[in-house]
Amino acid sequence: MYVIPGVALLLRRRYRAGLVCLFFLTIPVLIILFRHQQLLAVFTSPSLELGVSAGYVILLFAVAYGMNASYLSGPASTSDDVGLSEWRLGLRRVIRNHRAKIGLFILFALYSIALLAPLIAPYDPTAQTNVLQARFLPPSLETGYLLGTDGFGRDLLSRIIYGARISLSIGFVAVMIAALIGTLLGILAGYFGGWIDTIIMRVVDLMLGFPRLFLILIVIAFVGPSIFWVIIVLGFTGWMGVARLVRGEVLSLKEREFILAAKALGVNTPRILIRHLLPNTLAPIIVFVTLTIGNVILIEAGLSFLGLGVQPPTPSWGNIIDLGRENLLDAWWISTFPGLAIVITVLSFNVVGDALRDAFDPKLRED
Amino acid sequence: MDALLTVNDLKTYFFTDRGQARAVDGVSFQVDKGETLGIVGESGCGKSVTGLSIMRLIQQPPGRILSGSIRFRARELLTLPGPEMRNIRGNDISMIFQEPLTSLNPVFPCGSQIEEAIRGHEHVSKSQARQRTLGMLDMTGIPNPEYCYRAYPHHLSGGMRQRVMIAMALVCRPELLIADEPTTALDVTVQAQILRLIRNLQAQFGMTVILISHDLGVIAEMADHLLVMYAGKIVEFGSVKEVFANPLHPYTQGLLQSVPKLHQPAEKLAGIPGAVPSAENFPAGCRFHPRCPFNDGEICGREEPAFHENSTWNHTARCHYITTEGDQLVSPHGLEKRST
Repeated sequence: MYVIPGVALLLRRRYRAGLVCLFFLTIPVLIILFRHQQLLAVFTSPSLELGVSAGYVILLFAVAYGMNASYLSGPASTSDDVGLSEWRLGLRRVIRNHRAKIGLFILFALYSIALLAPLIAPYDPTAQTNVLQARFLPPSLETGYLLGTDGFGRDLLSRIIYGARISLSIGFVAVMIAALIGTLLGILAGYFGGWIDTIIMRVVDLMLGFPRLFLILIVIAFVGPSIFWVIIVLGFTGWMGVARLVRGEVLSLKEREFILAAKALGVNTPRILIRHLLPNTLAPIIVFVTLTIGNVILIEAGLSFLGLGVQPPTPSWGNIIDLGRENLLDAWWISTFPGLAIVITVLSFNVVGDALRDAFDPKLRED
Repeated sequence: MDALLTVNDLKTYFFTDRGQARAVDGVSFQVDKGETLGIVGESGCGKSVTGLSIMRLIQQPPGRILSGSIRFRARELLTLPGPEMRNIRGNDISMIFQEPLTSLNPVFPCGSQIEEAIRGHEHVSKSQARQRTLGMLDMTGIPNPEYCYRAYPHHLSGGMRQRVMIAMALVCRPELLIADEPTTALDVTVQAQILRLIRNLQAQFGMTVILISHDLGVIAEMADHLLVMYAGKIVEFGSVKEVFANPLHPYTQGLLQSVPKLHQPAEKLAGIPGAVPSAENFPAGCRFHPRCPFNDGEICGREEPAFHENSTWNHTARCHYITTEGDQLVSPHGLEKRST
């Protein structure tokens, strides 16, 4: 019995910790029980997406066992604050927020679906089998198409699952690029000041002066639409906010005495930037990133909807909506379900982002 | 006694929109090995800037060390290349600051910040650094070093944080410690503990201390020699005993009079009228003359007084009205007393 993570915790009456471990165990166990054939295809016909899915299954096992071990070795009560950084205290505040908990759960589910797409999608998202008979089938349990089919007879559920992969990863990677560029430039501008600051901040002003969509359209028009370029463009047009935010933080942080104290101890400049300034700006960066991912997912959907983003037949939520646009009245499900997916995703990101902000950046709290 | 640190004609100016601020304007002094030098003065008289100039930590721009020399163990600090200066900081010369509450990085446990100081200067293993950190924390009289090692700054009180700061500054056994108002932000009982700690560690390590303070009581208790600074200049210098017994400069006299005394009836506390002039426009002549009770309206506002120098005196001041009487300097205050 003790081999199963969480059971030992449950027997020790630590129900919440035990259930969390069991929850993380459920997903890989279900996959192995019901989808072992697809999973085993990793060995017979290896592909990147199957490899990623298999890796994620293993990771979930590791998380379940790792949490089990750390909960078991850790202290039973968490009232002892000693040795807890402000990070851990902040994360605890996030977890105690019920809306954030729901949001985090939904995001975890969405990213799990995206990562496990080849294992859980009922059909091939691009296969047009039986086009004439399977066109525009409404959602139903009997036909086996849970969310119906589109005009090419493709299963909508599978397309949305695969589309999640595209939309979520574009949002994530693009915002990571933006955060990286913005943080780097913001720290340099804030710390060194002078002409470095002037140049970087004028570039920020210039970039913010252009309408973002216009910039994106120009670049896409030149290089042609593709997933790669959408990520690059979204990343390189989104860093200005982070740069301003980080610069402001650094400007106030560098006057704090611990920076002077670090200098007085002979710490060199790169180390002051990376070890003393960066971790102190991380909280607002994380809040910003979380709140922006939702926005970027929306922009990507908009681009794909306009035909400038992800190109069919690769499914993305945006281009699925676009495909359903012509048949909105007689086949409502094609545009509605991916639209719902976008709404849920963006909402979850905003809820989690708000909770993170409340936990880490009390100054910005609205209430 | 040989001098550990010799500062000669140090000028540190700040160039701001409002003009040139002569924060430190031709300061010269020397500190002997093992002694404690106190620097006193009101806020804004250049005490801290002097300390930061020695460390070469003046924010640049707007600040700049214009001229002068700072010799530490026969090495000129002002022309030392950056990396070498960095190696001196924390290793040979350390500094502790006024605000223990903000002088520690909030995102790291205290222990790792002390280790950073060790590992920045010496090649030691992680476990050695840890051992030395715990040992140093123990020496600063922290009751539970293990706890403090993994505690974050927000878990500790102000006094504890100042002890951590001291541990950080002293862990590499510097020869010179510059303590910039180390006890100002602490309450009086903790203040006494911290001062005693600094003095004990000084004796243990054979360390030289420059103690910057506006608190004459602190200086009287801790220092051997005393510099009184006013408006970017040293106005009086001497051993603590002599300066307290026979203050020469009217400013020093004013400072001493403005300290409340327990054994005297509670009269209205004497203050010095006016405020320190802003560093952008110091008055001509003696910089203290607009506030000085002995201002004669002539030479005081016209000529800058020089130190009364004589190799036999180790106590001197800058004032036109100081006179010699036998082999002693006599202050204008003394003159006045005699005439009445």
